[in-house]
Amino acid sequence: MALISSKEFENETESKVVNLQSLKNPIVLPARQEPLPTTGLSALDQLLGSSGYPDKSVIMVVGPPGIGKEAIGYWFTQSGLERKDFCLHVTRLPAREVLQDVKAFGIDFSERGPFWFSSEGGEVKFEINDLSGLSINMKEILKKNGDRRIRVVIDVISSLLMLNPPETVYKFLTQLFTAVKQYDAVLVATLEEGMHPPNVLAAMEQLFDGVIELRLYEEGLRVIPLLRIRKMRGLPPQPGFHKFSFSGSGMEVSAYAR
Amino acid sequence: MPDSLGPALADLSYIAAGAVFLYGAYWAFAIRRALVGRIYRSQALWLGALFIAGLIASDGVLLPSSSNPFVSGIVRFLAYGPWPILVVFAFLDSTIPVLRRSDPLLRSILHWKKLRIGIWCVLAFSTIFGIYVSIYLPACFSTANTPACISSAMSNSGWLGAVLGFWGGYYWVDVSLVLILGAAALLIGAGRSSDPVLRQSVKWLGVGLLCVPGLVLVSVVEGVMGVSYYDMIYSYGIVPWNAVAILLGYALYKSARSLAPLNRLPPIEPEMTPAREAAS
Repeated sequence: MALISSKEFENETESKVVNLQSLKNPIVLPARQEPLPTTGLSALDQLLGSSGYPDKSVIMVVGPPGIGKEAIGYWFTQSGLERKDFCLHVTRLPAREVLQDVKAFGIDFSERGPFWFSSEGGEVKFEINDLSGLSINMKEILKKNGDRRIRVVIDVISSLLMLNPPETVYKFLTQLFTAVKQYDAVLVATLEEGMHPPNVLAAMEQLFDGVIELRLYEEGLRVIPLLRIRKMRGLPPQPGFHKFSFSGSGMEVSAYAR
Repeated sequence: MPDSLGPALADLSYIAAGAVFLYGAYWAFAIRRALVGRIYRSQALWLGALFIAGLIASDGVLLPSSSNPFVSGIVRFLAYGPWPILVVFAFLDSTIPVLRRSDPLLRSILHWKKLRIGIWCVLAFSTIFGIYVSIYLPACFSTANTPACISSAMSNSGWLGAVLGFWGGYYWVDVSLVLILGAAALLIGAGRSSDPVLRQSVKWLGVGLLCVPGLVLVSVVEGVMGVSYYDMIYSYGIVPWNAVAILLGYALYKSARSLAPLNRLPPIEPEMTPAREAAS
């Protein structure tokens, strides 16, 4: 079901004006002591060369539903909130559902949470079939918080790819990533494995600075969740697999040997 | 054929059915261990419970009897009671949210949040009644027509008993309610889902659900053919029933294996050195 054509998206993006005066978030002046943003997970930081995601980067976390892609996003947001970064969470789910999921990882956003861009209960309502509105709103939010370090977590790309032609989504993402890189921002996006044709997935990977793959592997009678850094800006190719698990205190990663 | 062949075949069919359900349960719980998402783990947990329910339902008649009437009632309830439908519904109830999340438009499936409360109430009532019947009407379990026996016994204890007897005796009403509504919700959810792996899992689940009427049909046909209660439990009579149960277990096993995409590791030995060392 194509909800918006590539041309419509381009035209609407240029012409649409959105009033974001009602945004509730207070704008706090930046705290820029840290050179690079961490992932919020020390084990993942170490895998990425001790310093986490590269500065001004866009990262894709790909894997099947339920494996823990979102958890990587939650820890990234949690870490940003602790550092008083501006954290934006773009989700197609109602905010309360995400909060329930977040609690299962021992993370609590009740006292200090991210800026929600969600289908229900967020500061800005997310409409899955309004790609141009999403683009404009996100750019406005980035602009308003441009003097702070920004962290964006976005879980809507798979849904967008289902509802729009891939080229429209590429265009949207290209524009968004350009905007993200104008600021001191890092974006982490999750993508569902198995829902998109391989060529679409390969083209998507090209847009990102880093790709983290989470997959379930079958070895005899065992099911093993493994992580692989498919690519990361500033790091050499890493063919190795790593076993991972989540606990209330974060993520545990160890090199996997058969 | 020698007389010992029937019981031997029955034993073999019990073992085969039990093995299929145990193996399926193992995979469901193994996948659950590997997942971290709340609703996905819940789905895998209840699918594992469904295998255990299948195991008890198929091999439950082999449970030892007890001289204590309460313990004996509980054993009868486990072997013959309507409780597996609770597990079936708990599994469906855990699968619907997963299907909803796989819909890009996140549409509600049959207003499930409200519908589920009503179904849970009906099932809770049936279960309580099932326990009562198991403990106080044990004789009905050794007849060929259990529902009619329960209904008849209850109608002698006033109008409430008659209503309860009808309801409890014919608990197929709530079994049908769960199966029809559950199947409808699964079909709608699978149709809207954009996850082919999940759709595959639901497809196999559908095959499994089709086996449930098959089990009932086998019992009815054997009843009509006049197969004795003993043969239906301990001899040739159980073999067709267990064959359908094995088919059901296999369909559920395939569904469990499709809960998440399972990959094979590439043949090349993975790098042992931690990536950070390679980076430095």
